[in-house]
Amino acid sequence: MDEATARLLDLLDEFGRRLHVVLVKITLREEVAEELLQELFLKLRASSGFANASHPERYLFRTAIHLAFDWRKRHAREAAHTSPLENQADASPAASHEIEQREDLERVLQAVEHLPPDDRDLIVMRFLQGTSYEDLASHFDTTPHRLRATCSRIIAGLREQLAASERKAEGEA
Amino acid sequence: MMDENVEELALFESFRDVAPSEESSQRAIEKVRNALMKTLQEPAILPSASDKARPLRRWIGVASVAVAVLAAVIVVFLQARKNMSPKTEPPFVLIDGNGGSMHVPDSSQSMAYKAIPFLHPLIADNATVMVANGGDAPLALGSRVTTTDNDGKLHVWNWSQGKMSRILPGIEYWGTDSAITPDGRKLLFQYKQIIDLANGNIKLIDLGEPTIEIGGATYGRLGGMRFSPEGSRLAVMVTEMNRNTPGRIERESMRVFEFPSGKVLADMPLGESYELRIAFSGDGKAIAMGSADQEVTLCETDTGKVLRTFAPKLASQLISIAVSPDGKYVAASDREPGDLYIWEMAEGKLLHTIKGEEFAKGGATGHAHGALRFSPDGRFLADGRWNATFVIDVAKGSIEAAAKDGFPSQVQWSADGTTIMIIGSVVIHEPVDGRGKDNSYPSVRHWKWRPGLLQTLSEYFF
Repeated sequence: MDEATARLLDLLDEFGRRLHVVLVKITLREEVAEELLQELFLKLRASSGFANASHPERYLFRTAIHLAFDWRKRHAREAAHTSPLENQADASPAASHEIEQREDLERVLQAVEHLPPDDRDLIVMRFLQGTSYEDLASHFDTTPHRLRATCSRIIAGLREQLAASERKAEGEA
Repeated sequence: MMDENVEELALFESFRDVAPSEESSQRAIEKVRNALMKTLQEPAILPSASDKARPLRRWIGVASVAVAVLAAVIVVFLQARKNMSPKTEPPFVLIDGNGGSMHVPDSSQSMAYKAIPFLHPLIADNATVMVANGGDAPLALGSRVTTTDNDGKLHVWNWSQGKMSRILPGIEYWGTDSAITPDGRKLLFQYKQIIDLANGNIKLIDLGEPTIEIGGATYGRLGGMRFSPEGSRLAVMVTEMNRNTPGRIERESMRVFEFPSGKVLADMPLGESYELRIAFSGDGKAIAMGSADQEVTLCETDTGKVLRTFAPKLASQLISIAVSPDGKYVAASDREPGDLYIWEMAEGKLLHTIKGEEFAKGGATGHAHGALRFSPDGRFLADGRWNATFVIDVAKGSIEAAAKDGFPSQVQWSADGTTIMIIGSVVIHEPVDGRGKDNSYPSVRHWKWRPGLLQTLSEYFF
């Protein structure tokens, strides 16, 4: 077995579950997350950037996040028209609640999608992966202190954006 | 220690329930494992320490890329120069950035860095060099430009000498909490340090604490800076939090400081504004901004006194605002429906309203923060919106030219008003595995403009 593949298999063992979880949280589709996880590792095997990366774990997670949001962009229009949620015949309260909850998730993800890449990665790692500020600090080469302040600002912006979307939706209704 | 307040966590609370089962993850992992094992017959790119030929191969690779980039840049440069009038200043030079740090997609990241040194010889001493900082105010750097590498070190390039002068020691650069003085000579860093880019000397300025600790969590207190055009005044957005209720904002204001003394001159309440959406007048004596009740006001910089209120009120949140360099006009647009208003500044008279739907007809799908700017002579207004950029005749209140674009975040005019630089991002459809894929790239486009025409002179993607 070559060195690159062996290294990737080690990373897969160590981070595979966490990567899969974050991919599901961003795409909201397990089958897509499965495909993206495979795409991620196959891409990295052929990536000189990854081969020479001084912090392969960082590279791995940021590429995964990039791939997932890339998928969201590609499928935004398609999803708007063919979302399986819209095709559900079940109109029970539980199903309605699930649909509402999913729409909420989509709204948050759309807002996160439009953040600058570093902000987006930070928010995903902190709030979707649950990585501690201390761990993120080494990942982003800064201090936990600064990351907290940064997150606070980003969240304020997201809230503003979501509130504006809500007002718009209410106006249209 | 408490990491966030309840409100911050609540935004992502629902995601806790979105998690695949352990079995599902194991199935996905196995699938990847099998796929990797199948590829063993194919050669992989190895980071092998025993590969003695690698440095040479890498050097050859870098040289090839550099030659290709240099050739491409020369072609683009010559083409751009050919298309420009003799009176136009040297071409704009682009450095992508977001918060001052480079943000480029995976593999092209190293290429962007490698391209920078090769751009140097093509830049005249008085070239307009800009750094996109991801929104808010562009960093106009004159003959110097700064950026950072992935390790947070701050680099300073001296463009006139065509070489990187140094890495400023002991400075960790992160986020957008920095600004460059209009003359391009000093960097105000993390609201505390004034760094002389020529020699690295540091002086301190007291703008108040940038962050505040409440209930074990740290919140940003200062968030956004803007220099007046002549550099003697500095506007800073200040967010005061309730000290008893984590996360509750008590007041947002814009504080004006004398620079570099740090003396507080004025403190003005800000409207519904996460960002510092303001515009200084050309002489720096007045600031146009939005009020809490969605009015556009003009305030005296040194006192905060409201000089004028422009009617009508905006229909929604202020998104972009601009003041013409000669101080004759103020323009502002709202989020929804995206209407653009142009007022005469001295009397506050409304001159024109261009409805958001007019921009939509021209291809705009939304507004872009801060991408609103008057031409140097004040006759035209560039308005960069999502997917389209417009040039508006200020006297007539009419859209004179429109061009499809990506997602502009900043707009800059050349000194003679014949060209416009738009910094933002574009989505490019690329063939991948016989299918195709949309990739978003930070970009800088340089447009030549005249009524009825917006023509690309050059464009760069990172």
